[in-house]
Amino acid sequence: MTHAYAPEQVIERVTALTAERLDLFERLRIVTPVMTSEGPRYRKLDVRRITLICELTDDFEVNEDALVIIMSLLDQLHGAQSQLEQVVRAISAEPAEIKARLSQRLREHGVPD
Amino acid sequence: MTKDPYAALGLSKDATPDQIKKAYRKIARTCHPDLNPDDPAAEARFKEAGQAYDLLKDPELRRRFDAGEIDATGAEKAPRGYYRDEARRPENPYTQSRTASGGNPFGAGFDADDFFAHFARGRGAAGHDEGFGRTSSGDWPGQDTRYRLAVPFLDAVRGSKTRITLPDGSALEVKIPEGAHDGQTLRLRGKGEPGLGAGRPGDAFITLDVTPHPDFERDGDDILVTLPISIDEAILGGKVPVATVTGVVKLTVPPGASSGQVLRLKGRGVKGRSGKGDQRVTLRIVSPPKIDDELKHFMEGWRANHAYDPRAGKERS
Repeated sequence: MTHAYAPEQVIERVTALTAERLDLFERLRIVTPVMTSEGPRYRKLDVRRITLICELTDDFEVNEDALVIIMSLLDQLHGAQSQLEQVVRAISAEPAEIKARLSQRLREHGVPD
Repeated sequence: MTKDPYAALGLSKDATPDQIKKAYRKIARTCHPDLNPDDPAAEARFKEAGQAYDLLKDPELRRRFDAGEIDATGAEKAPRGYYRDEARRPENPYTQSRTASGGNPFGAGFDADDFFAHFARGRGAAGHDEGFGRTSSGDWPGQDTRYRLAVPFLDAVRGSKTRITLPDGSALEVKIPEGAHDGQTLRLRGKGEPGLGAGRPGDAFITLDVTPHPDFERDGDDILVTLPISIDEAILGGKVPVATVTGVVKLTVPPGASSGQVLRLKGRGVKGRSGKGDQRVTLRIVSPPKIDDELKHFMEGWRANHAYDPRAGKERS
């Protein structure tokens, strides 16, 4: 997370992006720039997110409402995934008998290995 | 791409532009890497179809390809990155307030109690204790809002207060807690959008984006710096001024110090869960800008009788 892009730089990097579009994405709150003393800045993560949103708009003709829903679902998915990874990492640091007991419990609750 | 672009889209050479578009969309829909985060093969299929489509959707490029003027690779683009590669990092600001109805169970780092309480709550009956949902007809809680705020490195380490101006022109006081880290999300209760009727207002989530510092680096609760020292300081030792996050202190360099040696300033790091971290200072010996005759002659004389081998025991190659 070191490089920060100004709006013009993002528009230059993402071919399908225009200033109006970026503005729309921000009004829809599917893109949130970092507020800095020099104005809004975007990270690599934002550039890739904007690229994806442009593709959804252009290649699939997704409309605004659907776009907001798709991004919200995607954010929930990635958020849940990242939390699951943290839980798994925490569990994998536990001793073997605790791991065995947990997988026993998961089996009891019908979660496949 | 080595494959025939028509084959990549599952079409024959006489496909109409409409068929090409449909075929591409179908593959893109089923194989977009961001919509299939766990299927590595999806990315390959998506890329191949994308390149094929880029070529075939353009009548001129298609004509030249059909005529054998250009090959299927066309102009190779620089490797693009996908959002998913960035999206799962815990500090992703877009996943902070969205993970479930009750907000982010992790807050500042992983809080196990919150985490389990969060999932217990999500399972149903017991306690939507924060008044989420309808209270009576016409009353709805306000929406949560989300912001990202750049924070100077030292403000994050020492804690600070700042104000942000919201799109509607109003200002919001934000208290950056001491020891705040990059990607941390602060929750300001009731600072989101107003509710409808008697509904409570939403919360504002502010994800911190800590700006790196030219001199200080952070490793958990420790601060890392590199300290240049002169040859004489390295040989003779002495007290050398070094910047810390709370100001300059004198560091005792032991006689005979080497480059790469790490000295620890206890308690000069960042405030964390288990007290304050340390500042770790890596020494770096810097030669004088100009080697004068006196130094040169002294070194030559010294070497004649005192030569030593710092590489002893290392394999020569």
